[in-house]
Amino acid sequence: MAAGYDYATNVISSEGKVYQLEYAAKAVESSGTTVGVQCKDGVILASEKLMMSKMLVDSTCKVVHKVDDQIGVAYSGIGPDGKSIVGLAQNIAHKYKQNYGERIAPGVLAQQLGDILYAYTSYAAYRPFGAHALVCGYDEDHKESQLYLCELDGTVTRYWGTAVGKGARSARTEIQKLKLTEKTCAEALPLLAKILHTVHDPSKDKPFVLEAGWATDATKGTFSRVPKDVLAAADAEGKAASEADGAAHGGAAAAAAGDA
Amino acid sequence: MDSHGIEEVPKQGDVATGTTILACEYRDGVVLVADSRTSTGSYVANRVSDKIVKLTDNIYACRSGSAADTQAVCDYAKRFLSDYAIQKGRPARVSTAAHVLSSIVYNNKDNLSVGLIVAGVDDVDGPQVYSIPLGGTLVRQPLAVGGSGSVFIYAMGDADYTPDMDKDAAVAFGRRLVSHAMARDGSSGGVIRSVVLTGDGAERGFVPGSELPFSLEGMADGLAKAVEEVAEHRAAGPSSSSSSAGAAAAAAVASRG
Repeated sequence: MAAGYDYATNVISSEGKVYQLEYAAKAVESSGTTVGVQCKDGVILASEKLMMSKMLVDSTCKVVHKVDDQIGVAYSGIGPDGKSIVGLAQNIAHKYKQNYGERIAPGVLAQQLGDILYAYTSYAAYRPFGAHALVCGYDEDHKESQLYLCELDGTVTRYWGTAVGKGARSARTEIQKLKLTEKTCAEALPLLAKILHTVHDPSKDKPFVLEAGWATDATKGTFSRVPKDVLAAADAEGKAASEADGAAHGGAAAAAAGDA
Repeated sequence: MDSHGIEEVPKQGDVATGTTILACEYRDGVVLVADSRTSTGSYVANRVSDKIVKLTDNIYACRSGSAADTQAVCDYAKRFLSDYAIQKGRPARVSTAAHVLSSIVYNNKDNLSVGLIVAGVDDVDGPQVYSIPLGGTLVRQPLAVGGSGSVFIYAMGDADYTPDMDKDAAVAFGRRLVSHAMARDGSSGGVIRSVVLTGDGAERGFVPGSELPFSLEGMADGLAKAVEEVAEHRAAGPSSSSSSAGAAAAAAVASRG
């Protein structure tokens, strides 16, 4: 079907597709889920970090990163590609501060990051990034927290809440149900943990560690990783809630099977 | 020139704005004042040049150094600031403009001879004046003077500046300083241009070379007049107190300064 149209990013197939981008997106679809939401008092990024070995230290290979005082970036996809994107974002933020003497707004950073991701899709000598990035942070002009999704093809979009990675599809529908813009970050965190536990399938997926960061009114828009104890509590609460749901569904399924 | 030195003398054939420029904050805004001489060595290439350039609606800059370099740097800054306004959906603040200019100057310091004073008003920090001398240093100052003529008026500025002046006083203060520098500095002269910024637009001002608040010619006239007065008093006879007449004449001379 691809008939040779899939070898390069600078070729569009006769159906109007750039196959390399679709393949790159597949790398994201097979990696841990990352969710981002804008809440009443801030914005959260939370990630299902898959652990490839039981011997890995929990804190290794972080996927939620601080990029500037008030900005955080999380990614899903090929690890080194994601780290490279984080590095680009940190560079953009630093350069902006040097040139303009002020902090970059999350929207401006997301746009500039998108420009770079796009550039990597349009030159034959490069390959696209194998990761999507979620950018969150506090916008000082609009006095609000914001969430942006920078896709590997260069698309930049602002969301109230979204998800990328393996469980993105079901995570997005769950986020939509929660109406998190009416909840605080503290209230939302266990709910996000629950979503990540629900989309995680322990029978098929590698075990995971929950990672999260937020920029809240309480921290004056400063982005920080969620404190360990708060995160552990949210993780436990989310896991329990997810298991309770699972048991209810499992029970219903068993009952249905019994009826049959 | 070595890579860390500061070039004091422009390259031969360079058109330099051997200049007097100044900007200061006052009660309701900022005022920028400049002379109008552009010279190539001892030749006056332009005697009515405009060294006060508009960067945005509420931010202006005074240029000194190489005419070509300062024009190019300000044109770049103008473009960056208009891009900034489009991207952010609001005009740039004065500190932003000053940072943009200082990073251009700093990043190209080996190839530029540019001294700038940026001044403007914004809704966050109010009236502000920033000085960006040769290497790209950025300093906020209530009163900044620059250009070759500035050395003659530093002390005058230190003595006479107060931040609570009203608009007329601030403009008069700026013009007085610049006229003194123009009198003593061979590469400053011509007319005095000024810009007043209050946050709602700019108001340009102009003083022709024949009506400067101070000039050496004026001082010479004053002296001659005083000498004449003394002579008249002496001629009037010994009955009148010649010492008090002398004091009056001396005071007359002093007041012309």
